[in-house]
Amino acid sequence: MQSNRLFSETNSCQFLAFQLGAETYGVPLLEVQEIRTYSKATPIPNTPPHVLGVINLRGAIIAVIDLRTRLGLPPIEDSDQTIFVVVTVRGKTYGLRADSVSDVIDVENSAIQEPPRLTEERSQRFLSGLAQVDDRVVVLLNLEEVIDNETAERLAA
Amino acid sequence: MESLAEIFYEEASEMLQQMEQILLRMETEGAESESINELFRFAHSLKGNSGVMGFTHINRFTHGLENALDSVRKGTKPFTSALASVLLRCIDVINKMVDSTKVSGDTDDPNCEKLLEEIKQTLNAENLSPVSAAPQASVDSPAEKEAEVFNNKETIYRILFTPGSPISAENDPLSILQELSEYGVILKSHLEENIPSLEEYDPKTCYVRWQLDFRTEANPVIIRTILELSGEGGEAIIEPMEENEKPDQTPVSTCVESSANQHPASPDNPEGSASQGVRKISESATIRVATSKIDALFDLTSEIVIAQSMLTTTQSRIQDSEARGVIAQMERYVRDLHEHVMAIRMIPVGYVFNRFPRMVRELAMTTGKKVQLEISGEETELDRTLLEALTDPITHLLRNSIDHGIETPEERLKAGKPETGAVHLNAFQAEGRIHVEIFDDGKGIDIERVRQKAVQLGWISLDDRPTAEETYEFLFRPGFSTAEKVTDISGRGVGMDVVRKNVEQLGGMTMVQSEPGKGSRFLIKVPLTLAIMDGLNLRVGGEHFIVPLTSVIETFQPENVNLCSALGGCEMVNIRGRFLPLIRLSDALRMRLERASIEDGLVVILEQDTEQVAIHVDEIVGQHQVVMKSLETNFVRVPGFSGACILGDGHVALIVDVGELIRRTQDHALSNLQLETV
Repeated sequence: MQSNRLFSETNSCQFLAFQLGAETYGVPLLEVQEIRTYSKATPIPNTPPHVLGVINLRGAIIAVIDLRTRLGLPPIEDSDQTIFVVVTVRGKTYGLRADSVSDVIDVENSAIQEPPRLTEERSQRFLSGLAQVDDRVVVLLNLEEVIDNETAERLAA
Repeated sequence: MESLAEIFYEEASEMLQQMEQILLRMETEGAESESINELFRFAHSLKGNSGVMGFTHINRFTHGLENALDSVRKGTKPFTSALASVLLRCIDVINKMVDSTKVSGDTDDPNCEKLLEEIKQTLNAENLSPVSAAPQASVDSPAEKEAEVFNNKETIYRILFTPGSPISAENDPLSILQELSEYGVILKSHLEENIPSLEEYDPKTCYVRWQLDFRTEANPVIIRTILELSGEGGEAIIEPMEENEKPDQTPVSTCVESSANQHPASPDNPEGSASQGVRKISESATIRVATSKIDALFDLTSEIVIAQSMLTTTQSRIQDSEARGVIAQMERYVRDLHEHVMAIRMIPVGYVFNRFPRMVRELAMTTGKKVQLEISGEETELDRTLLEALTDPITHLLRNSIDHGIETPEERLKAGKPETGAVHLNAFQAEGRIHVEIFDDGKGIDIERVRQKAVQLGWISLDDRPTAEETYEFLFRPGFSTAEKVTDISGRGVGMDVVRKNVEQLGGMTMVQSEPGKGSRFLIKVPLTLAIMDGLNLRVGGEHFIVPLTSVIETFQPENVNLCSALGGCEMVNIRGRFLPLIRLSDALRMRLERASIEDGLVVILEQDTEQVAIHVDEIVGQHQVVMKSLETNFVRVPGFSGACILGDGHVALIVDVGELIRRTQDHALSNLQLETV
C-alpha cells in the first residue's frame, strides 16, 4: 500500500529525512505530524523491546518506538539531538525515536527504486524504497510495518 | 450537506424519543390538549425535515401521522390507548426508516401502509386522508384535502401578509405560504410591491406583501402562527370576508405551487425547515454541540490544569511579586474553568431513564405481567460517558426485575399483593458517588434455588450452607442463570456477571439485597465522573504508578514484627492477625525494576470486591486528581492497566487495574524466586 502511494501520479513526493547513525531514512511528509524533542518515555510492561513506552503529546498518550531497535541497529545513548518523529498511521499516532532530524527532501518519483533484497529477516518489510537524492541515499520506510503491529496480538495472547 | 444530514438525524431521534415519552405519559395521565399539540408539532417537524432531506417515504408517512393527530387535536377524534399503541409502533417504524436512510437511502417500509390503515380504523374515521397524499399533492387536490382533515366551518379569510425581515432560510415567505396552503386553499393572491431604487435595495429585506383570499376550516390562530412563525417585524392581518366580497372560488395557487416545487429541492437554503424544527422543539435556552467538541474542550482544559499545576510548583522560584500574584490569579481562574467544563459533561440521568418506561411497558405485555415503573431522581447529574455506559446494566437489571422478580397478576393476588407490580428506578448522589437503585415488590431471590443451582454448577458442595450475602454473589458469577425457561428477555446465562463487569469497568460496584416475598433491591454505585479520579501515586524504582484511591484500604510501614516468610522467601505480612502475601508491585506487573529492601518501603493494602492484596512499594509520592486516559486510543490495551494519566511534571504514569492485579496474584501464586532469576 505504502509503495503504491509513493509512486503516485504526481511527479515528486516530499519526505522527512532523519539520521540513524550514518544512514539517512525518510518517511512521507504527509504522515508526519510533528517533530518533538526527546523526553523520557514511561515503559510499559510486557511489550517488545522496540516499544520504549508512552509519552504525553499535549494530552494524548502515544507509544514511542525506538527505530534503532526496530530496524536492528545497535542502540545508542540519548543525546540532545535525539528526537521523536510523530507520525499518524491508520488513525493512530506514534512517536519514532531517531538520532537526529536532517531536513525535508523532494524526491522525484523516478528517483525511487525498489529496495534490493538485503536480508532474509523480517526487517526487509520495513523498507519501501531507496531514493538517490544529490549525493546521498535515503532509505524510505514503510510506516505501516514499522509501527508496532505485534504488541496487540502479543498482549491479547 | 453532510452537517445537514447530521442535524436531521439528531433531531429526528430526539423528536421520536420525545414523542414516545409524550405518548407514554398520555397513557397514564390522560390526553391533555397540550400533549396532543406537542405530538402534532413533532410529527409536523419530522414531516418538514424529512421533506427537506428528500426522504419522501418518511415524509409521506409522517404526513399521514400528522393528519391523524390533527383530527385528535381538533377534538373530532378521541385519544385512546389503542391509538397510543399504534402510534408507538409508528414511531418504531419511523426510527427504522430513519436508520435505513443512513445505509440504503430513502426506502419504503412495508409497515407504513398497514399502520396508517390501523390508525384509520382506530380513529374509526373513513374520512382520514389517503396514505399516499404527500403535502404537495394536497395543494393540487384541495377539495379532497378539506374533506379529510377539517370539520370546522369553512371560512374565507382575507389575509394581508407582510413577511419579516431580514429574509433568511428560516422565514422564506414562499415556504411559509406553502405551509399555509396545507391548511386550506389560496383562492386569490395579490402581490403588492414596494421595491426601492437599487442604491437603497437591501437584498435581505422583503419589499413585497401578499394579499390572499384563503379558504380554510382551520382556526385563524393556526393561520396566524404559521404566518408569524419567523417574522421579525412581519405582520399578518387576518379578517373573515363578508359574503358579498367573496371572490370566485377557483383556487389560485400558482405562486404556492412553484414554491412547493422549488423550495425543498433548493440547495441554497436546505437548512430552512430543519432549523425551523430546532426553534420549535428547543424551548429552553440550549444549544446543540457535538460531543467531540466538548471532549476536545475537556481535554484541553485538563491540559491547562496540568500546566497550571506545573507553573504553580515553580512559583516559589519567581522573585517578582507581581508575577506571583498573576500566577495565583490564573490558578483560581483555571480551577473555575475546569469546574465549568466538567459541568458541561454532566447530564441528568433522566436523559437515559426516560427510555425505560417504554421498555417496561413492552416487557410487561410480553410476559403477561402488570408492572408500573416508578422513576425518581431523574435530575441527578452524571458524566455523559458514564451514563451511556450504565444504560446496558440498568436495562438488564430492569429486565431481570420484571422477568424474575415480579410475579404474574394471579400469583400476586394470591400473595395478597396488588395486582400491578412496582419496579422503582431511582438515582441519587451519596458518599461522593452516584447511586442507581432498582427495586421491586416481587417475590425476591429464592436463596434455596440459587444454592441448589450453585451445587449443580459445582461451585459449592451439597452440604455447604453459604450466608445469604454469599449466595447472592453467585448471581454475579459467569454462567449462572436460574431462569427455568430461557426467554429472550433474560436468563440466557449471560447477564448479571456482565452487569457487574461493566459497572466495575466504570470504577463502580454492584450490590444486592432481597427479602423473600417482599422483593429485591439492586444497587449500582459509580463515581461521579470517569475522566477524573483520585489516585494514589506510588513509586517503584524510577517509575510512578497510580492506583485508584477508592481501592486503597490502608498503608503502613512494615516492621519486622508483622513480616514473615515461607517457602524460602515468599514474603507475607500480618495485618491484625491475618496473613496476606506481600507482593512487590514491580513483580505483580512483571516489570524488572530496582528493588528496595522491604523495610525501606511501604505496604499498601488494596481491595476490590472484598478481595485484598498487600503490595510493597518504594514510596507513596502523594495523592492526586488525575485525568484518566485510554492507552488504546493510540496504542493497544495493556493488561494490568486501566489507562494512563499525565502527572504534574508532564510525565506519563500508568494506572493500575486493581481487580486484575488481584486476579493475577491469586491465579498463579506469584513466584518471586522465578522472577528474581530472570
